Amino acid sequence: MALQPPRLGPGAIYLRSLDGLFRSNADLINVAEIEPQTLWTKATASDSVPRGSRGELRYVCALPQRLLAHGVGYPVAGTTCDQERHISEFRLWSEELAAPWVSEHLSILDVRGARGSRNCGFLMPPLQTEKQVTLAAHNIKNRQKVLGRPFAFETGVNYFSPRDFEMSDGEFFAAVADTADCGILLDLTNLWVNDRNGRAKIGDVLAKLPLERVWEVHLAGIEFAHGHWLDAHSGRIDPELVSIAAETVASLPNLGAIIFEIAADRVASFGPTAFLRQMETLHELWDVRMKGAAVTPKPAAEPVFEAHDAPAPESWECLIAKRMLPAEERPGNSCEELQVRAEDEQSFSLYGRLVSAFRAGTIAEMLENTTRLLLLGIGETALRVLIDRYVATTLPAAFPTDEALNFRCFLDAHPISVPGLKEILKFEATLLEAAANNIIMQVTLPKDIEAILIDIAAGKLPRSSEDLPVAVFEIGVDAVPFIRILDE
Amino acid sequence: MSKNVTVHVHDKLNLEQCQKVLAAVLTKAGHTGCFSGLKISFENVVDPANIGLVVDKTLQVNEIGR
Repeated sequence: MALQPPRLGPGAIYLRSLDGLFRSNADLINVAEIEPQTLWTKATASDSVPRGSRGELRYVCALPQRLLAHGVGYPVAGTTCDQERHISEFRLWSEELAAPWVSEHLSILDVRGARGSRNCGFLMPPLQTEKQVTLAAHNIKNRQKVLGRPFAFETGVNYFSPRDFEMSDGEFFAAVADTADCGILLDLTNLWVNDRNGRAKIGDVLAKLPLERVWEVHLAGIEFAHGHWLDAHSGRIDPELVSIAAETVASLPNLGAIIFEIAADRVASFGPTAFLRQMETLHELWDVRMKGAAVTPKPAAEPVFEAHDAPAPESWECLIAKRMLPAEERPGNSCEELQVRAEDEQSFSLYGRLVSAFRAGTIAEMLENTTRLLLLGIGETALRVLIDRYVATTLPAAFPTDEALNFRCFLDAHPISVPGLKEILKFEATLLEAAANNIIMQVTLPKDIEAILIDIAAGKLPRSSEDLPVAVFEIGVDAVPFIRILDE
Repeated sequence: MSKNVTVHVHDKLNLEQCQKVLAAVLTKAGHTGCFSGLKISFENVVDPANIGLVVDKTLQVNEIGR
């Protein structure tokens, strides 16, 4: 594995809401890690392939930073691992960004349900066995080949406790990296979360890693909720983690970038000043990185001969499908070989809560006025119950437009009497369809839809819209977004 | 060939709120990204004045960003 990545420096995950900060602070933010899929849209047809805007790609390429491409949504640890549908678009983006390497998660997202492959709603950890090493390495080699670019996998968070027959976290990451002959995106926050949750000591994990394969480090803020420390990307990197990072980066001979991550829904409360302070912290870390000194590479990970015939990756994915998919989507067969422990039930319960929060958050972001109106009309408790029912009975969607439009279908099938709800939902859903399908749409709405929006913003229930005059609105998004009232 | 349509915006309705909603949607239409924590967007809508709270390692409760 000969790659010695270029020394790009400290940087951060690029968010649209941070665009101005990136462009005006290139001295502090040296690297912009682009997550292409977060900038793509997916048309509403179930078989449509997500695509990005060429205009936005050019705009992002003009950022003053060095650019990296980090995949989200197509992880490499599962038996279902896309090497085709999203590849041409991702390859185009990584080429245009001139990314020296690309990365993705060593996780599972799609599992086989009763009706085919399904998104389980969360990046799930793989079972750490030799069979899984072989599968992941196979997927990574293929991904590297189809992308035509050096590839690093990201070390993930894992809210399960280890099983007796599993390899340790460090052994597993090392075996995958050595077998696939690839790089490692060392997410120290994930390892630290695993440490704090009692899964694996971060020092033990790092001691097993082939450090010369670490090309990139991720750091983020964590938080405590539902009885666990979570990789929440919630803001400031804890000083204790900074200290751990300082020790770690000093032993990484091929480190190319240190990247700060913050979730989009935390940016506003975190603020630009705090964000730039984190960049200063990353610069301090960058300054202590190992500079050019050679390290003796660890010998490739020894094959671990498992004590017994460990369960196949399919069995683990079957269990994930049974615990995380809606009832009618769960596979009918039993998941052979895998015993479900009491602590597994707790972990699945946590994952379920996180998925629910994720999906509720997506609905709130995409159908913000509908959500506010429901809060005004039926109250918070009833709305939470409604969303819980929706989550329990429908599949999660990878793209928020699909999630929001699925919720619209759910509300259509379970109508709720709230003044203005039908109209606002129709309005917001039409915006989403126009955006997702990149088409101009016409929709009949109350002529004074603005008054309803203003009432909602003011926290007031709008008056009944039954007898309001209507008009045809036209909505388009490309090249300049617009909403207008048609009057022929 | 496309049909010619005469379009005008009503004087009373500059559709400012509608445009804001559209702009907000367009910035969020991509894949929801990768993290393994708690998304708080719903909580932010439930209470727009909500300031995220985090519990640090000493179990002190702090406001995000403070």
